[in-house]
Amino acid sequence: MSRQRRSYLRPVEVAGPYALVALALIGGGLAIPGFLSLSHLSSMSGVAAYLGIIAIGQTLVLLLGGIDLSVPYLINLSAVLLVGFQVANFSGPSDFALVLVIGLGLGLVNGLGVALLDISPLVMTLGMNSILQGIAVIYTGGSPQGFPPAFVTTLATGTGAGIPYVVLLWVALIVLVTLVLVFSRFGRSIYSVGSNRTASALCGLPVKRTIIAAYAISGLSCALGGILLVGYQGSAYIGMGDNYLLPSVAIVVIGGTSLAGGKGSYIQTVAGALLITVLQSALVTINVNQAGQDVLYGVVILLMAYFNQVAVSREGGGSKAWLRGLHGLGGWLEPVGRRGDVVAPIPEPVREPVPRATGE
Amino acid sequence: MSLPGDEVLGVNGICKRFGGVEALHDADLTVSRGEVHAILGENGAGKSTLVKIIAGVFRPDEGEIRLDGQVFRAMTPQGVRELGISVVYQELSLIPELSVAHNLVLTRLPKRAGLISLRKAYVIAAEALEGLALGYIDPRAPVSSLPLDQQQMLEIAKATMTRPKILILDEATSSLGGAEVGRLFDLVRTLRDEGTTVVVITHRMHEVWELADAMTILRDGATVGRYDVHKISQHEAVNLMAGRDVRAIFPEKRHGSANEVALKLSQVRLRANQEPWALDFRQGEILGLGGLEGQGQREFLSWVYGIGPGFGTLTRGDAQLRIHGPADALAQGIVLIPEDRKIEGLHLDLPVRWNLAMATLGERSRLGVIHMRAEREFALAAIGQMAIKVGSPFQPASALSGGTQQKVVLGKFMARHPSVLLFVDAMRGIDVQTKFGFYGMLRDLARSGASCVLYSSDTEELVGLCDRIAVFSDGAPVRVLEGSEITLDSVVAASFAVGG
Amino acid sequence: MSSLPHVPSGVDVSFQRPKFIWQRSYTAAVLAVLLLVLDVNQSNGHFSTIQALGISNEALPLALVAVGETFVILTNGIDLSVGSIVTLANVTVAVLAGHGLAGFGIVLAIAMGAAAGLVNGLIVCYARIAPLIATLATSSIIVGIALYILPYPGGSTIPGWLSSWTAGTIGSIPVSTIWLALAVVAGWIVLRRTKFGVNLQALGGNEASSWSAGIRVMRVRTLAYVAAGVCSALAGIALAGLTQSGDPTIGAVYLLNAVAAVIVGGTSLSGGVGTIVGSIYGAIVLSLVASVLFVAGLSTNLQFIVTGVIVIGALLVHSLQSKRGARIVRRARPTSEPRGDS
Repeated sequence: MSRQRRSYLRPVEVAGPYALVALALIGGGLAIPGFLSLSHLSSMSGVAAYLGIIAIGQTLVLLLGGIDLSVPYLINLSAVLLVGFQVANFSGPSDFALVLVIGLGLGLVNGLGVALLDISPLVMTLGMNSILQGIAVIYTGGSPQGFPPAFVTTLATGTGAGIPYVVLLWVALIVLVTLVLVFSRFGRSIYSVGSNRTASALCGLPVKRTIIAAYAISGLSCALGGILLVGYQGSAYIGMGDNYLLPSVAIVVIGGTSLAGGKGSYIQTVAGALLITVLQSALVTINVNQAGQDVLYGVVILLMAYFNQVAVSREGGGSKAWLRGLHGLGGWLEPVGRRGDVVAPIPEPVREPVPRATGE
Repeated sequence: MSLPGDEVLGVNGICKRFGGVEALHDADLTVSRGEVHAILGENGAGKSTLVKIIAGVFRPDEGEIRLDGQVFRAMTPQGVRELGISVVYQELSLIPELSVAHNLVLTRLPKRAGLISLRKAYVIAAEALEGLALGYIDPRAPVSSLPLDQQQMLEIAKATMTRPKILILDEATSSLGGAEVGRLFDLVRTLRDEGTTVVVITHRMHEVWELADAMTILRDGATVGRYDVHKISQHEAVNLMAGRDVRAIFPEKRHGSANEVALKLSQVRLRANQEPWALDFRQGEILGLGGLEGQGQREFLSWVYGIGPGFGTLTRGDAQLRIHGPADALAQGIVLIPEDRKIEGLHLDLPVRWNLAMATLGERSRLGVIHMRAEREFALAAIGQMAIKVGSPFQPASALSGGTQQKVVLGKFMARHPSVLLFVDAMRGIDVQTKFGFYGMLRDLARSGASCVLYSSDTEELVGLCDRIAVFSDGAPVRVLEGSEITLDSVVAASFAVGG
Repeated sequence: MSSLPHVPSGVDVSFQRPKFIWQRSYTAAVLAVLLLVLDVNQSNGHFSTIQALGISNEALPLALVAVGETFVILTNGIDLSVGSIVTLANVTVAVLAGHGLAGFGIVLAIAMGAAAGLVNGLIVCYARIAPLIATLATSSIIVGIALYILPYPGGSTIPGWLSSWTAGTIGSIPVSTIWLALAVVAGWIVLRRTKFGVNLQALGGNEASSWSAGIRVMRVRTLAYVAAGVCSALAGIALAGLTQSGDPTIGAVYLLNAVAAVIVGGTSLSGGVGTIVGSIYGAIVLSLVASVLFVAGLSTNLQFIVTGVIVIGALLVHSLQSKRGARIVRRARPTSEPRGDS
């Protein structure tokens, strides 16, 4: 019953999403000429990079069991601040740094609300999003003027040896984030707090600090995303961040990270970003319109969420798992109709059935 | 064995497995009409599982259940209720935000012209409450506004409202204070006089002898036998529950009293309007916190560890300690082994290795980076030392049995080499073998100089294990018993003493 | 057997009179009235009821969506697809009105809303996918369907009768005010006086106990999502009447505002506590913000900040209230997974 486990993540959890990415690439390559050409791969990876960088923060926050709904205007505000500072004639690099710091600070505010005031993350980040929208609108009067600094544009649009700079940046960040999550105390705290906040507090882990830091990093990664976006597009506009909220949550979940927290990794999120990008790119190329893309997008999320939850969970492995899910439909009529031990889930009290003397 | 009279509830040959674990095999139960019948057994003997099977929550793998001679099978909780069996569990099944009346009539909402009639609901509720001398509870009040013991009485009111044939109380006294326990006893006697059959599951021996007519003893998932209360002594019953002569299994206590004070707690006030009191934790001893449930033992330990409210001073030697949270407490060498290991003690989804390392991450990291090899060695050493049965250190903690899980919790905190250990009912739900191992470990810890403070709901455990017992009542210790003063009777007597 | 001391029975507890309990929805109601007064006073110098009621047109769609969302939030869930259902209903009516089938369009829109809710409920209950993700996915699917039905805003062939049923007036009272009042009454009845309503609150309050009380938890939860779908569809239909056109992007903004309205109204995100009425007040509050700023001479761009502050503030107020009031209940441990705790 207990296979020898060598690490926290089961190989199938990581390999699964990547296998799907490979499948999607192969499928696209077979169906669409030029799909696997270097230039197309390069452009797809660029698109995925934006999504992936923004989702760094969302991954950490979801690992904690929270959520960050302020992604749209963290991105948008960072973008308008960057061009705004440029217009006010600050210097390029210092604008860049300043916007990142502001993003960090705004994320910090989210974290403070959630950790210290015990405000639900849904509400805190929702409210912050609105507040940030207000700041962005007031600051720009509704139509942002100005352009990003030249080096940001280069970073966002340039390529080196055929690989977009953003992708190189992304790879560096992937390594950094993964190292932190796996090897650092902070990373360990994130998993612990996400898995069981109470037990973590009782062990003396810095629960509040971990939460605040995660939201702060989310602010930072969204700020970086906003900077890169405006570098890519050449200008900012109100609403440019709106399309990134749902995908940022979706790719984390597609990758296999659990919404309840404590389980997942950024490597998995990367796979999610790649998968969504490849699928969308394929759909666009074969001229599926926006409507079709949206429908497919939703279906993919549902399928991945279902399989991640059912197929890779501790107990329910194997082919019968999905059957168990469907069987619940019989329960519509009478609780008795459900198969299995528990007719109605009254939870066990502290005392539980004990193995017989031979087992222990 | 006693001969059952007219059988109202009969259970034969019940078997139940959960996954690979057999909870019950060949469990029998015969309850006579109109009697108070107790089910006794160690933690993990299967009492609760048996009750849940009777209540329709679980379906037995084998065996039959008879009510008034009729076999019934495949029941749902609702169906069982309709047959006249009402169960009161230890966990509250009330809906906190709804009113008292709503909760009481939830299963049979009174209607008028298709819509719920609140007036009828209040009337029904008020009548039910009046019948149980609970008339002071306002049926319109939301349940969450009532104190915990009133909620428990409400729970019982809910179950007795329907005038059930059989009332089953599963550890129902655990949240009740002294006065309520008395009221509950009166209620049980009244019900019996009115012809209701009452089945009581408890691990409080004195309750059984005070209330019950007959008892059934379970051990390791099987029925040992049915006995007449008047024909068997507590000691015999305890032996039957454990399957051996119980007295021999507690390790030898310390001789003479401990001298060195590990931690001095003074000017302690856990609740408002309380007279300040003081207590010492001494090196090399096991101090027990006794008394009925809810008398402040848990609050006291929570306060010491920095997670609960209270006032007072902690002193070690000359230095005063400031403890604002677990991190401070741990830094001072104080650890707390929590009550509910699944919710408070373990990270169930995380690997055993991470669980073990959780409280001592700082020792194996530099500049915030964890030294993985050191952690691996640490985990393997801990697994070996505590004989933790696990396939690989990366198995999730959820895969372990109850006793092994508790070992992981202990191992995690022991790694801090604590000088003061606080145990909040940590032995609950552990199988007998592991428990005895813990007793030995506790004694070894004490012998090596640590100060162990143990709150347990099992009075026998306290009596057998502790060198000193501070009996709590109403938020403060009312008596401290030491050495030969410690007997089951003296502890129980002190528990019921009205606070002076 | 040694004799144990006799336990004195029945220590009398003093009679508990219920104190006046400040219902959570009162906060939103007070805020709504306050803003209403500010709004109208500023623009006229005196208070005119008729003018005050003018806000109903704007508040109605949001209130409807908020009511639907309330049902779902009461079950400790969330429905992120309400905005997309609004859009779907809206474009369905618009397109069919263009063919002269407005009446049929309305019926179809409601049916689609119910169907969408049913799908949401089934996915959440039986596939056991977390509501956040499930409704996020279905919202994408539904938006896709809406885009397919009506790729671009248009359709000015909304029949007059629909407009007068939503945007018209009876005497000097806007029809939408009447709809709002009806919604308040209906909401109160459903939640407090029907078995469904009580079961809904029970389910959100303590799921495990609801099971053992015989409540068909799956059925109740699914119905909550169906209710959300129907309410959102009604909002989309109302929008068609109010704006006289169909727009495939119209529903997007309603999601966040509806959740905000529910929170302001006092419904707890973890379920079990809350009222329909409160959410309606919350919708009114949010609809008034821009208006009040305008008549006060302040930039309407401030509305976003004000809204954000109101939402966070309302949550803080409500949670402080309940911390002071209730005692901790040792409830049965829920079997459902935790929902965004940190």
